[in-house]
Amino acid sequence: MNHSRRDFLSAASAFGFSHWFGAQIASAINRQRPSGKFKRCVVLWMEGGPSQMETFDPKDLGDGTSKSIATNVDGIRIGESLPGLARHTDKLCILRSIGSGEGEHARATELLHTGFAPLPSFPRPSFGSMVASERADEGFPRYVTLGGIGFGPAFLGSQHGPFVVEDIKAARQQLDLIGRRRRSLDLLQRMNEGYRRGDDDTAVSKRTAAVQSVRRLIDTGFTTALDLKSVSASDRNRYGDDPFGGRVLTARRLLELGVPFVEVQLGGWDTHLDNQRRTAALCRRLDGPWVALMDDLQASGLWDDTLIVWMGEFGRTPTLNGRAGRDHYPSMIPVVLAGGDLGGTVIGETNSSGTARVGTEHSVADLMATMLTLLGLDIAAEYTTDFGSPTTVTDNGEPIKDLV
Amino acid sequence: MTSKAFGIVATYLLLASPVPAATIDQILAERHRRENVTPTEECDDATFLRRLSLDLIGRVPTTDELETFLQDSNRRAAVDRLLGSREHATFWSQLWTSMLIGRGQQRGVEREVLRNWVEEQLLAKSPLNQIAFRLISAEGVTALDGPVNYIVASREDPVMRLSRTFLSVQLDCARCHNHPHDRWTNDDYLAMQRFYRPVRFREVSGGVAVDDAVVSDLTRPVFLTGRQPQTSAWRRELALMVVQSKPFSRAMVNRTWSWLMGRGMVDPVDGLSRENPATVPELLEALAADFRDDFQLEPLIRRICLSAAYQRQVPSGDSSQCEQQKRFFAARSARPMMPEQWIASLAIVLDRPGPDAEQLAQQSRQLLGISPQATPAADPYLWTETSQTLVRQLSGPIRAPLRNLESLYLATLARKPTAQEHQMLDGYSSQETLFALIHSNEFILND
Repeated sequence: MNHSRRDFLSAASAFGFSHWFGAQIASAINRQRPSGKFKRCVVLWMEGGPSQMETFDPKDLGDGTSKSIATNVDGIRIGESLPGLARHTDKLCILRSIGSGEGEHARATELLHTGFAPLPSFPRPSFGSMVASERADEGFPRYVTLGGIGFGPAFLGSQHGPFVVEDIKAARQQLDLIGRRRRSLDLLQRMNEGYRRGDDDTAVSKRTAAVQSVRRLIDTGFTTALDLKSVSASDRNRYGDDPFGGRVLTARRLLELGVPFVEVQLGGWDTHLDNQRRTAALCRRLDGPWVALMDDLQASGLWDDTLIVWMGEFGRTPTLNGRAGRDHYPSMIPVVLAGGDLGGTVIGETNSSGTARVGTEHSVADLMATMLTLLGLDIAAEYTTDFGSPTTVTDNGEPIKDLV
Repeated sequence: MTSKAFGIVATYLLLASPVPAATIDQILAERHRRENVTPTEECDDATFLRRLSLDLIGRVPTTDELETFLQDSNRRAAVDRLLGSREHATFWSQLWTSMLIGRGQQRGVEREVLRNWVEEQLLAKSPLNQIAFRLISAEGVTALDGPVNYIVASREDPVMRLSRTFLSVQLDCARCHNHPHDRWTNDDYLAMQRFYRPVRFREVSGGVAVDDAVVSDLTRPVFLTGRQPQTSAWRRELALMVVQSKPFSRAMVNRTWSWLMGRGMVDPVDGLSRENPATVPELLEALAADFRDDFQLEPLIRRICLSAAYQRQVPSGDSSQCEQQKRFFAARSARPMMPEQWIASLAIVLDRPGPDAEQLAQQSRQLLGISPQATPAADPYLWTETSQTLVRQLSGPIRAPLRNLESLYLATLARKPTAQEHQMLDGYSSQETLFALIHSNEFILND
């Protein structure tokens, strides 16, 4: 880690400063802050397993694949199809140290979302649910996913489950429609109040609370945040008209509203065929919106306490297969963190062909422990599941020392 | 014995069919005396038909059905009519399928092929031991052979699904550790897992093909009773050991009881353990013993539905009393409709054609927002309504059929509005009233 740069940033930012001197000073500066640096989190989920060779661990193999470009940080090079990010690499913390043994999509996706290898009989709460469960209820969902994947809250309780928005327009229309039914909703609440049975039934009271939460939801800015018609032309241009850009822009609006956890999906990274062309196209879709998001978070002042996480279920084989594709390679999972003063750093290293790790390796459990700690969660806290088993939120993960 | 009590017993003896419904109530009455629990009164006729329709055919009764029933209020005839209907087989096949593999769509699993097969079995009145045997030992291709989808859907951890579904124990807990309060150990789990060693899954056109290889593994598997297979057909022997075991008949009786009564004698239905025994074990044993005669589901359902226990009102009084009443089946345990029941009921209320079985499963998934990764529900009734599910429900289209307030109430709640409700609803359109009714707790609750 580049200490001199970091010292400079610390002096420049009160948040970075407080981080440098530990949690006690942080709480003295601002008591409302969670004990970690970051209040909220946005995950850019690369469904299918993104190639590290064309993104954040390029090797310039000499056969025209895995080509790199220089960045605004000396000594750090990234994939050639990410020119925008190359100009902002001082904001990125690139992890080349993460690996796992899960090479199947569904299992690996669950691992990266929960920090545990899947076990059907022991469902684990997702990253988003864990963060949501530690944040105050302000009337809107605390864990929103845009584009598809939502992992459940398991024993944390259904109120901490994801609000899954597959189609932003359809979701907004649903909420708009409910918004026009306020009068009927109020009638419904009166009916429910009039319906009393001697029996104190939890199912009934839970449902009454759920109706109330929807009634509250339509009066928050949640529906408006999902409505991209009202965004400025400059916003629309910078995020582009690709659906992924629209999702990232929506994520930004949700973060501004106060939603503490948003996941945005970009699919199509399962490049068993034609890796070069497809990965390059995906990188172009990724590059602009990601840069725009970082610019906007800096402009709005959310940068210092918003954790950006870029990841997918696994990396891809350093050598091409017979169809110019790359296959699953869980021993290298490219991950990038950004936000606050995490940037300009690389953790971990692979050899010159990308086939083996040199030095430190971190597990997905370590990654999860790191992210949860950065977000102010106590990873040592004990929970009791609904079936009575004591457990912690990570699978014996150790936070990565240089980051927390 | 008083003459009145003698009279009752004599009547039972006279009317005794081989398995009289009365024994359920006799056993419970004895238990209520011992626990000092006072049972609630019998529910009214309209409540009975609504309850029975939701439980047996998965929807509220139409106003016509309600009217016809109220003419003679013959509860026995209503049970027979609904039990004999095609709708019953279709709805219960949905229930069984959700119990076996959940509601989600898993890769390679043909849910509808399995559901269809289960429906055929129910229509043919196949005994449950045969159905279970065929599910556990199934070979074939997912697109063609219904039962094989069960093993494909549970391939991640077949012992977990098997033990929870058919034996009512959570053996999978022993997968990671020896439970401090339970008898099953990790060795038991591993010994059971060996039954599945020979199973081969192959991707073929038409889905996944399943068959059993011959294994030369020297360590034979061991069933929970200590039995070991005598042939090389390990999985078929496992299936036989399961259906011949007492826990199997208890588990099947308890699940059926739980679906109808709103609560299992062992509750949750897959959680039998030393810490969580049956609340009325003598009743579970009696029903299981009778069930073992022929493993027929229909007489069991009929017997439960005709019992006084099934026909009670929901509890009243303070909450600890309510809990005692429900625990010993001295009162109805109401619970919210499942998505399938809500969707089918809505079609009735809104005068729309109901969805077919496949559409119903798909709409339920949509409503619940189930991801493919969703873990199968061990109990189809166990689902939690999130605010997102509610958003989907509340934003659904409403077109109220032209009806007055009275018939809106009859169609949704099987009762007429009170004077107070007339007053409250004054000034609301029938659209608004219907919206509030179909989302109200009273509508959603099967009580």
